[in-house]
Amino acid sequence: MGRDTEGVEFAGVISVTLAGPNSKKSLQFGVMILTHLRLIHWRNIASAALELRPGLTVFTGQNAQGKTNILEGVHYLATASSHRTRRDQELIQWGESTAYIRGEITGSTTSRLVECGLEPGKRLLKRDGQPLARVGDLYGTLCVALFAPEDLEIIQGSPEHRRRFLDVTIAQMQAGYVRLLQQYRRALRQRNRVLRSLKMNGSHSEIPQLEVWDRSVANLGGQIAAARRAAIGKLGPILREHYHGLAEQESVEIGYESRSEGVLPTEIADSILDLLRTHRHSDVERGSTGYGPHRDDITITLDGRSVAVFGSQGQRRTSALALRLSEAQLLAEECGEPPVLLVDDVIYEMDRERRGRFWTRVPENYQLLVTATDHRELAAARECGGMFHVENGSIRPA
Amino acid sequence: MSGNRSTVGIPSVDRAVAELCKLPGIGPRMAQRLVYHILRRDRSEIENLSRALQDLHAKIRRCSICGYFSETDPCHICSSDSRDHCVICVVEQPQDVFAIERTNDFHGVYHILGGALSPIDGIGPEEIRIRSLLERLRGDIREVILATNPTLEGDATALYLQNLIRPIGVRVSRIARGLPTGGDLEFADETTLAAALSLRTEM
Ligand SMILES: Nc1ncnc2c1ncn2[C@@H]1O[C@H](COP(=O)(O)OP(=O)(O)O)[C@@H](O)[C@H]1O
Ligand SMILES: [Mg+2]
Ligand SMILES: [Zn+2]
Repeated sequence: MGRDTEGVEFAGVISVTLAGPNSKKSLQFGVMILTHLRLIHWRNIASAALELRPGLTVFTGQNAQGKTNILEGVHYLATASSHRTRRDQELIQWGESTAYIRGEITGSTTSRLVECGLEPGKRLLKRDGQPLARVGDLYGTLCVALFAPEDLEIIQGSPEHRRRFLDVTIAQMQAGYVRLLQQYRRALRQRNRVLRSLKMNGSHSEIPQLEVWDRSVANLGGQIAAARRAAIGKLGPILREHYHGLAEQESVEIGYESRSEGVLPTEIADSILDLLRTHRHSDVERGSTGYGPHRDDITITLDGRSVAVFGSQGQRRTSALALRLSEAQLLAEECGEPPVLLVDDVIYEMDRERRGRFWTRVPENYQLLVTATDHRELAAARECGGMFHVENGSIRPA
Repeated sequence: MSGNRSTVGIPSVDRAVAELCKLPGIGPRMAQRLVYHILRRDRSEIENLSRALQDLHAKIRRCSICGYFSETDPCHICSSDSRDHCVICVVEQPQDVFAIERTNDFHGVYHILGGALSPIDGIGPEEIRIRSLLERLRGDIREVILATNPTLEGDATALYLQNLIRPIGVRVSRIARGLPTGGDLEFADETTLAAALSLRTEM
């Protein structure tokens, strides 16, 4: 199986002794820095151990060599999820049965170690050597904002992409939010099951049961929608500033679109409960729940018109970019430490001038991991703290 | 991968390990340690252990009133003179009774549902002991305390019961939060549980 027994044993749930986090460097920045990254059998990367420095790190190389795979690994250590797939199995190197990734993070006050072992159908997450029972416990240890070509989907894709963007952002700054989402999803499944058996049996004996799950869905949904509305409220002004800084033209607005009303969780919960009761009949017919935060959306407009519908390709790209910059800033404000910025390809989709503006909007003290096919212009834009060349899954200092 | 690690090639050892592995919280390694420990003990000691285990099933039954484990029917709680039979504490599992009894703070009687409502697991009102609870309420009952787990399903079950019981005119309360959310009652420490019981709220 593996030459590198370290990761394999980890995934087999045998704990390994690890060197303590290296805390010498990066403290002068007072920000969270990913200092070490270990990848084993991760995508096309058989084994890599990278030492990372504050500021800008560039990964260069031709297409399809593994640059994005590295950023995907860092994103996974922060969120226990990939931005490219929902199937963890795809992350394990072909022909191998386990994958292992590890990150050492040095913050202004603490050093932490996050690890993840993957086997088909199984995942083990650890922080500082302790297994984490819940995915939600991982969030917030390493904060990231990932700029990827897929971000365009936030603008023009299905509402699910927008909800996910917002949820991952909130989850990184609000402890317990992931758990809330999981509980909500479970409550929905419970309610939908009752709806379906109501439809099949056509009897009213299950109405009391349905009422109970209505209440669960409404209470949890109210908390989620309230958190989302609050986050959108904070994102609005930041987004306007970044969009303006990148484009200098239209004025951008972001809003939360929902059938439920209210600001406080309890107000929104009452509103959702109303909707569920009013539309019970159609829910029973469909066998699923038609109202609640799982059906909500985020609208982004330029000068009052939907970017998704009326925006040019360039406006959509700029909107996506501004959205990610805003996410990063919000995370920095809410968590007290800037996130690690993972910038994958997106900046090459812009013209030179806009690229220049992009760099002015990223504070100097942020740690940046950037992929590039050509690093020369990057080097001109910002002092480079480290450069790696990526070729066919092997990564070496350049 | 893990399948082979847990067998040692000695059939009776492997079988014991496999059986122990079915117990909650016991993995292959722990099971092997237990087996080797057992093998080092005197034969008589082991016979005591296996007899104790067999007795569990031979002698223990469920109380026909509350559903608790007992060697007698009714159980020692339901047949006790010193308990207040007008106050019923509703719990999900028998082990929750252990937990509440440890507090020494509750002097009523119990009703064990045997689970919580969970449609996705096929558990509806008919699958847990709700009917028998309602039958008990026809008697002289002053208060029902709902002490289901503070989980999604436990909360839903409490709400469901409250909606059923309130119209009957019996006082219903839910044990207070303060318990670890998403946790099992069984694992709560005594003080937390005692506080939650005394701070129970009207529903
Ligand atoms: N599970 C996997 N095992 C091995 N190789 C993989 C796996 N998943 C993707 N790849 C390979 O990784 C490469 C893509 O890497 P990527 O990081 O997206 O490239 P780029 O350097 O262009 O960002 C492709 O060659 C693809 O075949
Ligand atoms: Mg790429
Ligand atoms: Zn009894």
